[in-house]
Amino acid sequence: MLKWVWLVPVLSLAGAAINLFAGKKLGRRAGWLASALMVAAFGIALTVLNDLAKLPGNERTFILHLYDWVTVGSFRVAVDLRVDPLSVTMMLVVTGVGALIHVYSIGYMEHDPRRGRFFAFMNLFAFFMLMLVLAENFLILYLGWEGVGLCSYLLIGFWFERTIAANAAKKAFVTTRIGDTFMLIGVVLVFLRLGSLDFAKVLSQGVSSSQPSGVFTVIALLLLAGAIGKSAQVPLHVWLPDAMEGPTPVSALIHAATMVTAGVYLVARTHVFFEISGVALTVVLIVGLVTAVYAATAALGQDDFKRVLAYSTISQLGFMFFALGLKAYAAAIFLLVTHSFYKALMFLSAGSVMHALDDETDMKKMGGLIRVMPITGTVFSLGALALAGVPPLAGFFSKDQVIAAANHGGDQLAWVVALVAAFFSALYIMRMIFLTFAGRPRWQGHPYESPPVMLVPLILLAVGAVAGGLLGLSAVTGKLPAFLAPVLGEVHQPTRGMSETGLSLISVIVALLGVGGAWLVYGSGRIDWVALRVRSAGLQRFLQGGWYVDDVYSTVLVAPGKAGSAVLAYVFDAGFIDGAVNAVGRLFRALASVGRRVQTGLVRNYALAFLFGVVAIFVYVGFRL
Amino acid sequence: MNTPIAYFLVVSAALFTIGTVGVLVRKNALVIFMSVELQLNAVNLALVAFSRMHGNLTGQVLAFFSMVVAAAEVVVGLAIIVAIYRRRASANVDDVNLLKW
Amino acid sequence: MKWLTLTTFLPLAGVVILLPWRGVRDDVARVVAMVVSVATFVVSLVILGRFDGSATGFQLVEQATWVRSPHLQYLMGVDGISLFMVLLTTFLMPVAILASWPVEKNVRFYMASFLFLETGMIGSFLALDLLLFFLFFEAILFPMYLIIGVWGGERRVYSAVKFFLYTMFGSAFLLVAILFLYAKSGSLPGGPTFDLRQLVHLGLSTAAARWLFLAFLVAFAVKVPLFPLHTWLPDAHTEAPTAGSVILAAILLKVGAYGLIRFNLALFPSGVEYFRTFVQVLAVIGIVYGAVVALIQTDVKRLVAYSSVSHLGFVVLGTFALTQQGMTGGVMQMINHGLSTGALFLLVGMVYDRLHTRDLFEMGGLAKGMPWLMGAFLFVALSSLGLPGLNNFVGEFLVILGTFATNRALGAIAATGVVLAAIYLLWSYQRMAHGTVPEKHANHPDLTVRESAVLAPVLALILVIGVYPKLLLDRINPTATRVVNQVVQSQTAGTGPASGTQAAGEGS
Repeated sequence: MLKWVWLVPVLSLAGAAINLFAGKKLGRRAGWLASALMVAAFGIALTVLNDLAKLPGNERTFILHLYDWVTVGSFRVAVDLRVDPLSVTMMLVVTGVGALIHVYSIGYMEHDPRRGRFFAFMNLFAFFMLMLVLAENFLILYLGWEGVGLCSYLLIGFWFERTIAANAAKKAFVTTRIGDTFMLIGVVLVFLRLGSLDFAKVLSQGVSSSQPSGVFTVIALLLLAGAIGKSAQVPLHVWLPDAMEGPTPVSALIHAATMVTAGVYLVARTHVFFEISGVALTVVLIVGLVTAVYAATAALGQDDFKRVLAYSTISQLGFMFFALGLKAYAAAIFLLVTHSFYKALMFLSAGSVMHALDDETDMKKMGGLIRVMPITGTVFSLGALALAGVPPLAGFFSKDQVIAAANHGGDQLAWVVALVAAFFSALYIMRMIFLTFAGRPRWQGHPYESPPVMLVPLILLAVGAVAGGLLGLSAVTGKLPAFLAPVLGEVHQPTRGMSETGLSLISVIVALLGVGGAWLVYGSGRIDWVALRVRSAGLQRFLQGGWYVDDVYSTVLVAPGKAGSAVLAYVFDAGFIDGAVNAVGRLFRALASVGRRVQTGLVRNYALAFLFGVVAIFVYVGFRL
Repeated sequence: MNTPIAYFLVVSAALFTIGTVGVLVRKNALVIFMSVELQLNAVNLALVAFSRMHGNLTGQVLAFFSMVVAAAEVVVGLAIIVAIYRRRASANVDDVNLLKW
Repeated sequence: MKWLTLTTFLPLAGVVILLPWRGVRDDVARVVAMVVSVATFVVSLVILGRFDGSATGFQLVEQATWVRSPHLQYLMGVDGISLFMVLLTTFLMPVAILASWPVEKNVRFYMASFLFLETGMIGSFLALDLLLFFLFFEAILFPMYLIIGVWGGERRVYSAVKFFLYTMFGSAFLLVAILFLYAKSGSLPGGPTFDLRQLVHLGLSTAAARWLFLAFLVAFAVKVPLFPLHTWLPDAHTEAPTAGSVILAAILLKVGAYGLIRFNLALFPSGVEYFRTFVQVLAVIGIVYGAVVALIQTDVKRLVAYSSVSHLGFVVLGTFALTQQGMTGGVMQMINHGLSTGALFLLVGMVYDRLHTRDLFEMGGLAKGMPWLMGAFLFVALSSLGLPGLNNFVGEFLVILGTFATNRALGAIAATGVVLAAIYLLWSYQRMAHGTVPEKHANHPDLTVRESAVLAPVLALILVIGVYPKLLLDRINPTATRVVNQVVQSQTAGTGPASGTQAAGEGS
């Protein structure tokens, strides 16, 4: 079946094409078609996994050549697909979680007149995401990379009548494109230094290359810039909270489970470069850590529950980057997988709530929803507990491995900061639970539980969020780390730091502290959190505005940019350059207006001039003779 | 009888100068026209004189050409003057300055 | 068969039919123009079929002496670069004519102007004799002047005159330089000639080569346009009728870029060496400058016009990188820009036909009522901003790669143009398509059948080139390599050190 792996992306592409051109005619069937294709793709992906697993560990790489894309002299790039443990893992996440979200969307988008287009874009997204993870060279990866950005743009701005959604879409595209451009330069540099863009050549060559490590630092940092943009890490994270303007399944699929993890995938895929550089690895670690803490605090200040989830995603991605920076690649991918389960689950549950509450997203107007939406409430809480790191849910194992890696890496400061971030994570997510599902109802209207077509995917994802930990019970011997070892390297038994049991215990305590803290403030009823908000309004606003990073960007970058552009366009271009052109024209007009006075129109004047001319010539000739 | 060439040239030059001055100072288009004819005839005279001096016919042939051209020119020029006169009831060249800037 | 001659002068046959045909019905005039232009396209496909992709020199050469003294020849030939320029011309001309269907004013002359223009453009791309080239080059000017000046918008006369004078200004230098070359060419074995293939072997002094390079550069830089000679472009584009803008952007600008490759690079290697960085810097300034100025435009046609300045910067940058990748990418970008910007102007024209405004601030929410029209606009905008999988990406990437190999800083600055392109294109798309619809624009029809027929071939080609660029690359590459090698070799033979022809890494 390995040879048939091309079907996985192509099925989604076919779905996109059909729904784009015939979506209107298909009506309700559009969603079923899109979902069926995704399920089929998932099925093929599973058989691919099966075939791959049959091979011995070191031979688990299969490259499928489709056709030559760009060939100019020594520059050769083909459309090649790479099947190896890492890409298969990603492919399974994309198709598996993707299929569930597609099914869920059938219910969620039922009443939208443009659902054909919606599913076309969703399928198109899946296609590009699959190209991204299956790419065998940087250029195809870049194709998928930009393609998912496009679909993200289309889907964030899906309800384009709302200016705020349209703005968010554009912001997402442009912000990520800034990172992408750095990445493109990085890709160019890879080719110029290593003479190829194929992973098979470049990544193995990187190790044995005689290039100075400085080159790899530059390359790695440029690639990292792309990853930072796409994975919404500080400082290019500003687009993700705004991206919540899209339909909620989009947030689940693109802005939680798959696209935003592309950066993590990229760094994991090219970890060879980062390791040679060393410096770059430290940068990854710092970016991840800063983002994890920053976003977790910002999440605490949000009232819009989709924005909480958005900041939570940023924070969790920060954890993944942190793990990458610690060389715990398998742990990062493990967290990526479990995160895709519980975050998709939470987003979809949030969608359920919005569905029930007429698109209300303000948590101040919720509360006590568990009574009317028991299933949604339960699965959401499972996801939240998983995120908080409560054993034995999936998030506990994955996050614990990341934090343990910090301890084993020997950097105690990083370990402590990561624990702080974990504490805040538990705090904000439980705050969300208490404000939304527990306590006194503050909503109006008649919320109701969602239909089965939405609940079934929720339940399946909840299974993943609960049992996902089984994939990697231990960082060393777990199923997933062992499977990924041929690509990401063996995970060795730690030699330093505390014992795993001790670390786990500390993690659990931190998580429970967070849960308890949230309960004390928002759940117990002993503290008046509304009054607390009022008393610390400044802090609240600071956190809610995401530390005002957006405002700083708009005053420091956007406003001067606009002003500069206006000056160039209206003063420099129209005034100076075109002014110079018109000035030349005016100069000749001025000269002519003097010169034309000679033309009196009187024949005798001309005749006189004639005479003078003749005399002058005679005089000249006379002197010459 | 062998009149020196200089005599002819002096007469020719005098005629030409009279013609030139006439063109420059007179206002009536017809008079200017006659002055132009005078200039042409001055040239013709010089040509014929030279022809005789050199003992060949080239100069005379050229004089014939010049006369034919002059005749043609008179036809066109008079027609224009008449047309202008009909329009403006004046043959004064100072009144006609349409080709002014 | 003399296919090149046939392709060049077939449109002129249309002119000969239309011009004397007084009182021809407008529809008949349109159909005649359409038939002639389609026939020209079909004939040009024969050239494609007969073209040997692996050969590097000129093919299908036709040679005849026209005037014995000065030795002016009728000399036509095609290589991998001109081939696609000709095909682009013949391909877009029927599209432009079909897009001109709603034109009501003086249809007969309008169509005749376009067909005359086509002959001029094809001739410019095929002529190998410098003076012959100059004749075709100038022949372009007049019909375009009429098209802008007669069928244009409100400030059409100003724009037309500006266009005309700007170009004439450059042409003056070109003519003098051509005549100078002719005067120098007496030392060649075949005697004085305008034959490009002979003149390449002319040993010019370094100083002469530099001056001549500069003269040619001025002429072509106006056409490209290269910063700071670009200000005619926004005016001309804005005022020209839709089809005029399409042809202007898609093909006329390419004549300038083509001239730079065909003449500047081939004839004056030592001038190239001296001015190369200068030209590249101008190109990069153009890339960033055009994009930044486009950011603030409110007139959508002006916005697209400035984006052309930016995109053409990539073409010049790539060709003057003098690497195989840069040159191939540059030529590819000429084609891609023709398709993408041509399509953008078509779409803007269609929007204008409905809304009667080009002001972005008077638009909004059009995606609701016209999903296909706006979808097509987005598609083309994405191609223009270099989305992989669509045509522009391959060219832009090759240009950046080729430039980076020789000059890191310029390559990196040029890459910012890609970000800026995303901003202005998405901004304009958002202003048009997103948000709420103004009351008066709520009920416009979506694409008509004719409009779909106009757009479909262009959009299809945009996709095909993006997905399978080998169709072009394999034919462009040998010629591009030859051009680059000639320049680099003669530089090595001369004074300066040569740069590598390959952007290959040390590890390969």
